[in-house]
Amino acid sequence: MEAPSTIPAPPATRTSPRQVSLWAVRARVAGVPYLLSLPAILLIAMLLVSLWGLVAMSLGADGPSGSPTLDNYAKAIGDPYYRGIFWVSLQLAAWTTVFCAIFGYPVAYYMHCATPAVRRFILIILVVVSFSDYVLRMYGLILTIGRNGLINQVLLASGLVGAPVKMMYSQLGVVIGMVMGNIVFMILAIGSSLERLDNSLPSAAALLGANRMQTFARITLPLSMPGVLAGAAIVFLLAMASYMTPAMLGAGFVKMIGNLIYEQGIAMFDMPFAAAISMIVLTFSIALIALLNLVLDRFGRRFGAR
Amino acid sequence: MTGELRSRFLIRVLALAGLVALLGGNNAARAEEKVVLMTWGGSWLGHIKKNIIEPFQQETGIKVELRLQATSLEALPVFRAERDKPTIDVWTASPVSAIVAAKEGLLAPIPKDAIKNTAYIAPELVHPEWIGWYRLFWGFCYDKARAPFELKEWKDLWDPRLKGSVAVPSAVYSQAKFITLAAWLAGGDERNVDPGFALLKQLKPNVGGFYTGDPEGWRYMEAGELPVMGFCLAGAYIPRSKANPNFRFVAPKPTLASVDTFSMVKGPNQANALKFIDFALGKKAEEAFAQDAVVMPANRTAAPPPSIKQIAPPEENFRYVDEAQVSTVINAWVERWNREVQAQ
Repeated sequence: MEAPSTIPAPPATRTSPRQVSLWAVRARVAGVPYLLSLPAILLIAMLLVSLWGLVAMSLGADGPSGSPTLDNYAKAIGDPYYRGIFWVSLQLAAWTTVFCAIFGYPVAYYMHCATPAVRRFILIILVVVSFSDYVLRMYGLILTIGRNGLINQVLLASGLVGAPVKMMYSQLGVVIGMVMGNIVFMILAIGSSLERLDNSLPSAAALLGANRMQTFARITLPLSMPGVLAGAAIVFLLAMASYMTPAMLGAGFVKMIGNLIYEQGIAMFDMPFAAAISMIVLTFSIALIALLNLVLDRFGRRFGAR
Repeated sequence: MTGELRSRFLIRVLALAGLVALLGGNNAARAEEKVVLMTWGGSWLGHIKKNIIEPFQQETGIKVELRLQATSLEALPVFRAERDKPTIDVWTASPVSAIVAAKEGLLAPIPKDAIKNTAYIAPELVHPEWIGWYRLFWGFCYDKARAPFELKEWKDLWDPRLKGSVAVPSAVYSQAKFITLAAWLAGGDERNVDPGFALLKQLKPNVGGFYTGDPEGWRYMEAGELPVMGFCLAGAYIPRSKANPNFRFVAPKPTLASVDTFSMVKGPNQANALKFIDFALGKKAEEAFAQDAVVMPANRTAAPPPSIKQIAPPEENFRYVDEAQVSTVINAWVERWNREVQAQ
């Protein structure tokens, strides 16, 4: 017996003024995804237009002469002074990333092993801290590690030191500040990766005679590497472009890319040069993310990425 | 279209037309009764509102619409973006910012005849593109309880006993005024700044930190980090001295002085802009504003606040910065400062 091969055709004419034609219904249904995507499309369009404006500005194409030039890029890359600022920014961002990983992994691991209630509690604290005002957090840090801060007062009172220890107004202070400001991103990234681990694997390892250290070193740590790498990328990029932390904790002795862009663009009103520096940082960031994706794709099996 | 659909359609059209008429009518009305002022925010805005904006609105019925800036240099990108259709009428700025903006054709010339109070402003403070609004002077501050000795002269900042103890403004602070001061102290000036940079390099061992704005500089003193602030505004010292009686302000000769200014941007309310500027430069507004903001009025008939008179040196000690010259070289000075004085 044959199944009906066709859907009954619609009536040739409308039966009443209120009846909507089938094509209008189909048009509406087909158009809904585009309609819902409209805000995202507008946002992406605005970002692309802004990016194009930045590129044009960096090439000097919006200036009095109007013709593009690579002079700003040549100045940013060719001048040892500006290269030095890039290098310092990369160094401090790298140290920040390393310390965020060192201090953030134990917190993420503890959250992974803790009961759900404890995990939620720690997560709430992390979220509340990360949503608090960044400037206020840095001021709190100044009150803690400053010359007359809490730590120095304790050290002096205990007699462990004879004079205040200088922890601020140096690269050390800036790194401390950036670690404090960005460690939450590392913790959340590693925690997310640990959550996806197959919990039977540590048990299997134990059954095969591995102790806890061996299980951690050969099972848990490698499988959590995608999270570590993702957290490292986030922290590195945020730290590299940091402005507020070096401004507040560096006392002018530490200048990073963010400070340079502000100084050139706002204080010295050399917008094309500031735009060129911004484009260099953006290009570097994109390259870093592309490299991260490559590493995760190529060694996904080895690190257990899914 | 059915009757019901037609009714709904008509209601929507009428509502939309009403909304357009309301907005359009209001906009038309507002354009004739307002002046758009771009000025600084924060506590400064409070002084401006209380002593100038609100009395002006009350007296003239002209509404003052505000646009805010953190620094006057930040306004320049806004003016650039609005070059073809400016919306701002009056701008408060530093002279260097005003000169830079004027060179780019972003400002309207100020017809002095239309502002009667310019007759009471010193001629050196009246320019084609800006008029002095109030006067400022700088000195240095120190914490008497923590400084190793009593400081009296600019050269005391270079004393070896202050090693690592002095907060120093960076080049971008107030259009490189500290560099100008160093040039004067070393026998140079705004056209010959090499002696100034040589002197600043000698100051490096004493620098405990740099700052780009007054609040940042005061933070060093108030947090007990550094006992000396090498360059500070007199007006900023007075309220802080009440909180800490150990703070001292010294304005040795030469006392670097400057003004903040009014300029006219090419907005659509030029006539109201002139009225606003004339009102703000009047004796009453000048005295009231100077009292709250702790500055010296530009209008010579307006009396300076008693708190400023107590710490101000004689006016013959004042030396005004050649802002026009500085505006041509400031970027080069900042680059040189970054490499020779503040290099990391």
